[in-house]
Amino acid sequence: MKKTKKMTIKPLTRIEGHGQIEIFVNKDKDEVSRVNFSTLDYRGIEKILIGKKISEIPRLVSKICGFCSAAHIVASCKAVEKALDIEPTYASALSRQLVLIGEIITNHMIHFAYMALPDLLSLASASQENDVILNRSEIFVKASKLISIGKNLMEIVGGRAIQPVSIIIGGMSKNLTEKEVSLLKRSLKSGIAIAKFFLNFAQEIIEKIDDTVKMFELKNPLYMGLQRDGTYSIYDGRLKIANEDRETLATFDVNDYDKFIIDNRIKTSSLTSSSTQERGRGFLVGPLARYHITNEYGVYEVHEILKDFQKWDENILMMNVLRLIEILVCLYKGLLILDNTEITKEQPVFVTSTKLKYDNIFSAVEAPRGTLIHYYKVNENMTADDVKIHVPTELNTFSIHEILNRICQKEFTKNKSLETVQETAKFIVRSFDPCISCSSVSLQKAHHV
Amino acid sequence: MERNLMKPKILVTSLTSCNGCLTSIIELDIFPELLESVDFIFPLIEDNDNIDNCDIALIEGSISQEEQKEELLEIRRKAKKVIALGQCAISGGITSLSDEIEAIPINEIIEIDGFIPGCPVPTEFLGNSLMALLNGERIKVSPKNLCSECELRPDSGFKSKIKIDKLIPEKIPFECFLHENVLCLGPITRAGCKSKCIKANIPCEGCMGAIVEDFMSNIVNFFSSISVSEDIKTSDMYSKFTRPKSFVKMG
Repeated sequence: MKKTKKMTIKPLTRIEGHGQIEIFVNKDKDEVSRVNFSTLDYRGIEKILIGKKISEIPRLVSKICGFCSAAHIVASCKAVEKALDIEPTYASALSRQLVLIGEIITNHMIHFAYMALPDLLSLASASQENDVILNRSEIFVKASKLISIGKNLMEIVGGRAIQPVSIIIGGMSKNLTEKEVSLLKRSLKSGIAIAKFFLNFAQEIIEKIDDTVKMFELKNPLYMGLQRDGTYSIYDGRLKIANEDRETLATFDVNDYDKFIIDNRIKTSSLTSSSTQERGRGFLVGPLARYHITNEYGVYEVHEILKDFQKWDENILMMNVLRLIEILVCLYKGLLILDNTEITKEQPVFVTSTKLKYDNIFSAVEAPRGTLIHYYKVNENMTADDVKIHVPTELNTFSIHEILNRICQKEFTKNKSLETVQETAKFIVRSFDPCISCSSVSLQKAHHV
Repeated sequence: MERNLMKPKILVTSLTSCNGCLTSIIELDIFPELLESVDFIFPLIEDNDNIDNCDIALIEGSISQEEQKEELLEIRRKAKKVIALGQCAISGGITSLSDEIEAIPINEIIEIDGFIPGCPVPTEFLGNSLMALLNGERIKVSPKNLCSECELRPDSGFKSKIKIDKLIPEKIPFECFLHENVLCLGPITRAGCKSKCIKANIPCEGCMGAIVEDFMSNIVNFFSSISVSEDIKTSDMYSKFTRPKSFVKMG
C-alpha cells in the first residue's frame, strides 16, 4: 500500500494561465508532507529573443503577457536605452508612467472582482451566519467602469489598450494633446469614488472574516521593490530590501541585481544586518512589498484609509486590500502627472543611435504583480547574446512555497480536512495573483514556479 | 432557473498563449451585460473548468503540447461552433519564432466555424464579432487591406519605385510609411483594427493576418513588387504572428 496520497488541483481556475497545485499526504504520519504549485505552460520567449536585434526586442517582449505587456515594453526600452546611453525625454517618462498606471488599474481590478472576490466571499460566509449582501451585477458594472478607465488611459497614451505600441526606444512615438489630457483627467477623477466604494466593500467583508484570516499571517517576511527615496515609484529609482518592521536591509542599483538575488532568494550575506551563512531567504514582491519598502504612497487621502486596514499588515489577505489601495493611488498619481503641462509640450521622439555604450544591462520596473527585471547581454552587432527576464511570479516562487507548505500543514494538523487544505492552498496561491504567461518565458521557471 | 436554459452557453479558454485576447473580452464595456445574458464556462475568471456541451467555444492560443490536441478535439465534440480567437489560434502567433516548441494553429487539428483576427483582437471588432455570434450571424471580417482605412494612404496611389531599408521609423511620418522607406505591412494585412498603430506613428506589423492565402506567401509577393534591403528581407520578424508555412528563402 502506498504511503503517500497525492491530490492534484488541475487546472487551478481563476489565475492567469495554466497552473496546478499538488498536495502530498503522508498516510502513516497523517500529515501533509508537501504542497507544490507549478505551471503547465512553456513558451520560451527568452530563447526566442537571443540573437534578435536589441532595437526589435521591446516590440517582441510585448507578446510575453496579455495582462502586463506595458511593464515588459517599458522595462525593455529602459534596458536598451541604457545600452545605447540614451536618456528618454522628460515628457515621455511621464507618459510611460501613465501607461503603467493604466495597466495597474486594469490588472488589479480584474483580479479583485473576478479572481479574488469569490474566495473572500466564501471565507466570509463560512465564518458568519449571514452572508455579505452582494449585488453581483452592481459589483461587475462598477469593476468594469474602473477597468475601462485603466484601459482608456493605456489606449490614449499607449496607442493600444493591450500591448501598447507607442512606447519606443528613446521615448514615445506619440504625444498627448490637450484635448486628450482633459478627457483623461475627467475619466480618472470619475474612478476615485468607485475605488473608494471597493475599499469600503472590502473592509465590510474582511471584518467578517477577521478570525479566520489569522491563519494567513506571514512569518518574518522580507520584501523587495523599486522606490525613490522611500516613496512609491513604479517607473524608476533604486531597489530596496526591507523587513516587516520597514527596516531597510539594503538599497541597490538594478545593475547589482546578481549580487543580491540568486535563485529567487536574497543572498543573506549581502544584507547589512545579517552574518548568517544561510544560502538565502525567500522574499516577496508585489503590492504588499511595495507597501512595506516605502514610507509613503505620496497620496495623503490613501494613508487615512489605510489606517482602517493596518491590523492585517502582515497578512496574505492584505495583498487583496492593497490592490484596491494601489488603484486609488494610481488614479491620484495619474491626475498629478496629467496636471503637469510639460506632458503636451514635447514632440514625439524617435532615436536612431547605433552606438553601444554598455553590453551588460539590467532594468527594473514595477509591474502590477511586482518587480520585473530585464537583463540583456549585447554584442557589437547590436544583437542579444543572452536574455534573462525575471518576472514577479518567479521572484515570489520561493516564498509562495514556504507559505503554502507552512500554512497548509498547520491547517491539516488542526482540522484533518483535505478539503479545507485544498481551499486554503487555492486562496494562498490566488492571493499572489500569479501570472503564468510571464513565468512561461523560460523552461526552468515554467517548471519550478 | 428557467431563464438559464435560454441563455447561450459559451466556453472561453486558452491553449499556448499570452491571455491577451481573453483579457480583451473581460475588458469589453459590455462584459457585465454579457455575464448576465450568457452562461459562461470561463476558467480564467470562474471556477467551472469542465468542457461541457456549449453553443460557442472561443479558443485562444496555439498547440504546443500533445495534451492540448486531446483537449481541442474534446471541445470540438462538445461545441456547436468553434471560433479561433486571435492570431495564435489562427496562425501560430509569437511562438512561431521558437525553435524549441511547436505553434500549431487550431484549424490544423480541428475544423473551425469562424475566426476573430488580431494580436490581440481589437476591442471594437471583438465586441461586434461577439454580438454577431450571439445573434447567430457570421463574423464580418473585412475583405479589404489596412490601406483602405489608413489616414496616410497616398491620394494619388503608391509611388512606382518603393525602396525599403528601415523596420522602425526615425521620425513622425508625413506621408505613407512606404514612401518614407519604412516597412509597413498594411498593403497585405486585413483591415479592421482602426489603424491604431499608424495613428500612434508606428507602421503596421501585420497582426490582423493576410486577407488571402497565408501571410508568408503574401510577404514574398509584396517584396517582389518593391525594393527591400537585404537585412530586412532576411529578418524573421514576419513570423511574429504566423508560422512560415510556405516560406521561400530569399536573397
